[in-house]
Amino acid sequence: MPFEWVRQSDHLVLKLSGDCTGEEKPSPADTFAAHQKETGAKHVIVQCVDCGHISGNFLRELLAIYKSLKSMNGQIRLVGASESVQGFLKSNGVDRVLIHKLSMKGALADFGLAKSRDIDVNFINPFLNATVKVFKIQCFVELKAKKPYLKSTSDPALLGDVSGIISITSETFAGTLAISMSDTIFLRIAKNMLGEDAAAINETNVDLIGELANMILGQAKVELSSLGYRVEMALPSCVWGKEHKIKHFGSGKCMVLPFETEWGMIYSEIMAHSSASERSVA
Amino acid sequence: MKNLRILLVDDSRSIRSLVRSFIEEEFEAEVFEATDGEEAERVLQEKNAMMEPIDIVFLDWMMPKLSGYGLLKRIRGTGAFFRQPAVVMLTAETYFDQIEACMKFRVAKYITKPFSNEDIKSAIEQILQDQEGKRAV
Repeated sequence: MPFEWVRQSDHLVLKLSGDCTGEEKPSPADTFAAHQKETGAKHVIVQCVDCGHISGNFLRELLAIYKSLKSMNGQIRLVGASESVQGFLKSNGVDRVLIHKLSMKGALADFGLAKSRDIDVNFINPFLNATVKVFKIQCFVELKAKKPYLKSTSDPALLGDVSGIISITSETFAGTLAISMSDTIFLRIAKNMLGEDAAAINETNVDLIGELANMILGQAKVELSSLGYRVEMALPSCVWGKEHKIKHFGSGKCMVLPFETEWGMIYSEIMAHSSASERSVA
Repeated sequence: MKNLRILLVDDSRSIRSLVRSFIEEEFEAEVFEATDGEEAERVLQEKNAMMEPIDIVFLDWMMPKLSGYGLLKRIRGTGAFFRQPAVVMLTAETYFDQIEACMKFRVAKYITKPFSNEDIKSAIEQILQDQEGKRAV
């Protein structure tokens, strides 16, 4: 069978695989009724990652499920559909009712079932690993991670003299990633990487720290993806000067990841909150 | 190989500087730079019109004005008068679907940042080998 129902505590997942012809007996719509009755679930996620093709008949099955859910104020979302499947939905004029989301988290957020989207340890680890990797490969600097801690969002000052900042957006949360260090460490890293022996941070060399923030987010999003978060990137910005300030807007938590280098400490700061109600601006 | 013309397209001066200095050290190449997709398109067209076409483009994805992906689509959509360069994506964008999307437009290599000098070297060597192979055929 090209489909299988998986019961979750508060929703059902319809996992598709291969070619879905709509000739399957019993049909997805028939079996949905039984699962719904037994669990009381009012929401369905159609997991399409392994699905190659959906026929017109199968589309009718999905619409029958949509209709049943609608009658009980429930919702249906598709996740992981290929471009061709998404195109098929659109060409049949059903993409506004069989809505596609990039991630399971995004679908659950639409149902109002997503759990706390503030930062937690699972969310932090990808950034921690990415920071270590980027500094090792790109800057030839070994970082030793120290214990992370929470910072008050009302305290805007970063911990270094120069910072690279990049905004993070996804279907379920928004936030800011900042990487910050002293001017001494920055100039040593610039020399390591570029062979440039600059005496001070300036307009010419400061873009390096923005690029490092960009790389860290790029690496982190691979690991975040495996946790169900799809993250989109933006252009980084750079700030420098003693006691420079970055203001995180929103009520999310701000986690500081300290790292030890042979020349002193550098810091990653991650602030994230639900994107449904608030926005973060760096 | 002499007369190899390489265009580095990245809004980060540091990245351009890093790649340029390595290429100039390892290859006999003339290196050009652009800070966004629009500037890169202009350089490509100018060099092509002067009968000195760019051989290899190292292309960042996320840039102001015109993204690397946008430029890639424009390059591959250009007519026969334009000599197509080999394109190496050099980007922090790491999703598989993004890599797949670029591959549809005949990207020779997709390098994700952070990267090493060896990544740059092997990309150029692979492109030169492929070109030698095509000439031999």
